[in-house]
Amino acid sequence: MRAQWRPFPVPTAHLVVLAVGTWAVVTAHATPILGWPYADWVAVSAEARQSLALAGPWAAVCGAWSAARFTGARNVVVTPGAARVGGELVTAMLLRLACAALLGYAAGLAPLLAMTARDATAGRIDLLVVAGSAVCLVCFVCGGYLVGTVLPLRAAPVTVLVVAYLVVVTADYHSPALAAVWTGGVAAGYVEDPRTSAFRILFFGVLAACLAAAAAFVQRDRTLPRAPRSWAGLAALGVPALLAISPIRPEGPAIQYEADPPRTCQDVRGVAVCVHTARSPILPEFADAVGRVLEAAGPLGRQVAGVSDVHLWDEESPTHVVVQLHPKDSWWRTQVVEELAFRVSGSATCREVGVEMGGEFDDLAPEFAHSAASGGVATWMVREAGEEGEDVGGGPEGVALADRLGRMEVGEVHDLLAPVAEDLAACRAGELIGPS
Amino acid sequence: MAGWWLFLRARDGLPAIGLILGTTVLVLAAGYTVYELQVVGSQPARAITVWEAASTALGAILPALLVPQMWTWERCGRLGRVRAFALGTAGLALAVPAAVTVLARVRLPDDAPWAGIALNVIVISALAMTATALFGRVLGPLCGLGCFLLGITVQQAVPAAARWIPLTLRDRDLAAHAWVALAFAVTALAVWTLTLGHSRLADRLTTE
Repeated sequence: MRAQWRPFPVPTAHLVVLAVGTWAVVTAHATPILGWPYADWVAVSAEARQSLALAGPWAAVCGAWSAARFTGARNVVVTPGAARVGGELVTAMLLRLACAALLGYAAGLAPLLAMTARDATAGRIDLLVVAGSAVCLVCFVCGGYLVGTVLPLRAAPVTVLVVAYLVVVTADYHSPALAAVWTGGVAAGYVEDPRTSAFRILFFGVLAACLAAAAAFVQRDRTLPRAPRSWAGLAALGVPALLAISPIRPEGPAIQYEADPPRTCQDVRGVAVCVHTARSPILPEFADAVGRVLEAAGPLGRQVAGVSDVHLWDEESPTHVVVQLHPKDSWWRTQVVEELAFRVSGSATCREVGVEMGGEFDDLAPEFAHSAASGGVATWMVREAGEEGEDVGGGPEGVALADRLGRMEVGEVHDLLAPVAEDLAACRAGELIGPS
Repeated sequence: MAGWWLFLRARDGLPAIGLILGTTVLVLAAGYTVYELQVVGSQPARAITVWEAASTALGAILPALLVPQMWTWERCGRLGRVRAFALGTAGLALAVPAAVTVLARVRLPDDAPWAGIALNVIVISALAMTATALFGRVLGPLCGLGCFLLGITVQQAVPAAARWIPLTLRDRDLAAHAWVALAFAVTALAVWTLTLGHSRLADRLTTE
């Protein structure tokens, strides 16, 4: 019995190009996260969406190419008079294209997911976000496919590339429920609104189905090159448009603060140093940086009872210091030291005073001397904590003070600062900038 | 004049003129509209002005519209004359998109980096023109636009690599940039003139 010959609707080469390209761009986009010192499920889940910034346009262009190459009315592989099957062909092609894109996408994300599953210390994968992103990728394929159906081969891929990139670049101007990618990162300490994530799955699913249906309608009516074409199928796109403006679209912020985030703490010289549990691998280094500043601060650090990661959303108070951690940057320990010194020395208070005064200091104003004193002490502390960072503030007078303190023994400096500790914290220690 | 008319009719001459006019209107209407591209959140965003993006897209697509559709016939004629026409249109296709950026100055502040952007546009147009002549009118614009989008994405994501990419946002180091643009342009014109805008490889690849 002779095997029935059935043409494969999309050549394997097209599928390979689509899958390998998607894998390559997702890998390129996800690589920086692999270098983070801790594994963060929230950021990794969001990366599934953010990598669409590159994977989406690529998948759309490939979809447009395949559609325009094989479904055109003048295509030599189809007899001009043959009735087009529309739905069947579109389903067959899109299923394969979508599978190829998803395969490349999954392969690109796999190392990241595996590493996070192994190393993560808190949280779990946000399946709604990942699923919504995968559906959005399929949507890009279907959108490109529709344009490839409507436009000729020489116009379709370029048009799709421009449009898809515009969709990505203008993400800020859309509602987060409808935008393919978001600007700004999400990390441990935040949660993505589950209603928005669920709506994204629904919206992109409906949009993908309607794009495919529109392509099928347009193809079905296409017989002879000269026959009038019907664009009535494009009306199918009204459904997702209605969905986009319908009241079930979630309003409100798509990213929320995590309620009661899990914390991991370590005691340093009687001070509780806490980070979000997802970031606990960096806690020892964080605690070490805090310890160095507190050692340098001596009497100034006595009022500090706690230091915490900003993503724990603790209230900031004179006794509790909240620090921004940027462990993606190699100099984050220096940043911690500088920020803590800035707070403990009263420079932060001085900045608030400056802002209240309109942000301008007259060289002769007493506030300027106060600010220079606190900045100088902060700079000295940073140097004493062993960081080569830039001077923290205080201008030339502050640096002169830091230099002067640097020539003294640490004990002497602590004796000098102990009586003015409260003044420094309140930005009132201008007398330190006096004749030396 | 009749020669030019015939020459343009054997290409997508009218769409090309329409695209040029449309881009000019868009660029003039947009003024100093800027979008921010931020692929990697921890690095500063890379600004894309509309007058840069639109002129670059025009420069990338224009060569594809000037590909001869009757190239086998054109080769039967007096080759020298056809080559002169090809060189002329290719020169125009490089000059017009860059001229649109320069024209955009009437709506821009005085310190806008128009010279650097015009050179960017020439680089991408030349790249697209070379690719169009070699690989055909489907892949050519994709190569040009893809290189532009990839270039600005890398500039945003890896600032350390930015100075190795001949796309600038500042009027700094213009001399070096101009030499790069000139090299790209001369290559493109040479390839286009020699292949008459359609190489044998392109003929094999084009299966429209």
